[in-house]
Amino acid sequence: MSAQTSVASSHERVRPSSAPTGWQGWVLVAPFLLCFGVFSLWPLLNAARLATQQTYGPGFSRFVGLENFSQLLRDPMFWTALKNTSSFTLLSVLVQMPLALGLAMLLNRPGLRGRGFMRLILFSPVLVGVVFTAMIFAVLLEKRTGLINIALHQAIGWDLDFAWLERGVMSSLVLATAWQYTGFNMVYFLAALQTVPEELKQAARLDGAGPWARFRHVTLPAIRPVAMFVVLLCIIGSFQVFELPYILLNGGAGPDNRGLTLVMYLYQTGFQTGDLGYAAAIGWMLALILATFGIAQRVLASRHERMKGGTGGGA
Amino acid sequence: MATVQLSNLSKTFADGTAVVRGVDMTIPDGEFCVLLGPSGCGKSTTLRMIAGLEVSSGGRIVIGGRDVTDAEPKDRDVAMVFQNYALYPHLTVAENIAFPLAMRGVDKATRARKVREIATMLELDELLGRVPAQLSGGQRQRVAMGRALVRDPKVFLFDEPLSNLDARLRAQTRRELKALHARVRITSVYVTHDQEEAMSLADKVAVMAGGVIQQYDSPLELFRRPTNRFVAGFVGTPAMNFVEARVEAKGEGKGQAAGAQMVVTTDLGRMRLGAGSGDGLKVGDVCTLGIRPTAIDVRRAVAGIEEEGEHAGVAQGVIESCDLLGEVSDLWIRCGTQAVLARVRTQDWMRSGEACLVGMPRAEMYVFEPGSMGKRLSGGESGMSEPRGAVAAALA
Repeated sequence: MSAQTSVASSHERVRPSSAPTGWQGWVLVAPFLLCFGVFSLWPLLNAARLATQQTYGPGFSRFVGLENFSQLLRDPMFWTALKNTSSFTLLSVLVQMPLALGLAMLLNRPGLRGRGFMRLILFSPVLVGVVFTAMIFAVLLEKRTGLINIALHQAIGWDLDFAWLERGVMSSLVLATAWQYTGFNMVYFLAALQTVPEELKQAARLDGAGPWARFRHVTLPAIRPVAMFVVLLCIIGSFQVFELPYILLNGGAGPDNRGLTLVMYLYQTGFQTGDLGYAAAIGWMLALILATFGIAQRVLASRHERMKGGTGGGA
Repeated sequence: MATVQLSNLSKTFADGTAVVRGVDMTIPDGEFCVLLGPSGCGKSTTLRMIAGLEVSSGGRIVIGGRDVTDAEPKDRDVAMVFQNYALYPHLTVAENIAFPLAMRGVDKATRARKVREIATMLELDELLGRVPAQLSGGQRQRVAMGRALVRDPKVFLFDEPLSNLDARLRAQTRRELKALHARVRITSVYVTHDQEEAMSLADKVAVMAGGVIQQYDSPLELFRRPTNRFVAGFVGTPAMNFVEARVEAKGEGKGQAAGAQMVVTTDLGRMRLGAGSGDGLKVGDVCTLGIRPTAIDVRRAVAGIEEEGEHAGVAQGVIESCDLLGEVSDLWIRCGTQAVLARVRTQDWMRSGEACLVGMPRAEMYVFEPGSMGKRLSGGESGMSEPRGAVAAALA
């Protein structure tokens, strides 16, 4: 009996008196579950239901099964939107990543004067709203009076009448996005660069590695997980692009739908044509595409983690 | 292989802190030199200046007759083993070892042959396909050695390479390192704060403090004849005991040195030092006496110690703590205001609170000028210090 008592009391001692038990734990996570349920899970499930309906405004709906999805695969507008969005994403990654990494490496140099100020300046565009960015670039990309045409004209004799928002829609979108997000990505790279072991760089110098070899064999492997994460962020953000082309192209998709993106097509179908079911199907396709990228990133990251192992001694 | 010469080498950081001040030393071809000192003494900075990873503020570095003071690290023909090994985590062991050769444009076949040779020498054959994360600390250390060895450098630099290993592995790696150096005989500079490591590895040790080399000598000389109180306190385990003293009387006449004695007063009582002690001191001068813990005689109070004869002085004390190490024990003995550490052969009566007598053999006493860097004035003439206390205690 006394042994039992002592076991019981030792159990009580092991568990801190403040630790929540059973229902207390549920109470603590309830606010999150409530918000997640109402604002994420419910809309997601509702969108799944909606994707199986043909709707005409909120009043009319009819169950069509997977018809919306098969229709989508035959829809040339969807393929145009997917092609445009993919090109925009690819170009954004190709422009923003090297630029952000390059700037981060430049601003990571110890002893560089005005380093903090430059970091702030380059980061600040992300603090400006997308709508505002679109409005700035609408002015910058003007035909005769836009700063970009004037600068290019003076530098390389560029045609002052070049209509960026008609003939160079994709370039305009990529440029505006790069202006806004390169500094943001740079901050991630800066943080990653600061974790590159100094000893490793020095070992490489002694081993005779030049700047490129040091970048390839020391810097790049060390920042790979962060680089993969930043690329994923850029892909997700680019696939969701909507406000920028919407405002730059005055609510349209530009000539020949050159500025039609997936989310813009979703918006047009759901809120202009009124077929919410078809729009939900587009939304689900977008979600599937992004989920694929997310899973790919996770697989690559976990492979990298396995290679690096648990200890930092080798790094 | 090459001789390394440092002349008046110095380093001052941008904030004005001088970390290395006028280091002069010559490391002969094939010798193993250890830079030993406490944290912040400038030993690592000196090593990094030799490697070219740190730009010197003054002085010259000559390796194999060539002035490399302003040369790029890769052009100095030195290889370095880092504290954290600095292996490329995404490369296999074979690729890590071959990396310096690849960077120098050595062809693939030669690279493969050299990697095999090194792997055999360091017993890494089974591990060539693994990445560093799959290796133990000792194995990583060997890979780092392999990467340094593979290109036959003129000079090997080691920056505390054993500090991340556990005690047993450290001792084993130390032996391997010593054997390896005996085989390749490449001039080596090794930085450590561990004096045991320094004593066991080095042909010569440079003890540094405050950015200055205090003494550059063989391990035995450092132990026997430390140049100053700092070296005496830093070299030897456990560290030397010091006690402040004032000269009370001194034998006159150099001609009759045999009979001359110096009598000093200390917190441990009056002491009669041997002939020729405290060269240059006069009556009334202050100095520091030193004695190694292994040289001290400790007897149970009831047994008694002859004050006359071989002891400079005998103090009464009480054992404050007794650390049993096995065959020997470390005793902290309180003698009035002074605490003395003695390493003696373990005896049953040695317990905290036990009264004892502490005898300090005259032949084992060191005399230093006052101050933490006080110059050695006498002591160390009798040769290697025997564990007298332990022997005497065993006989008692």
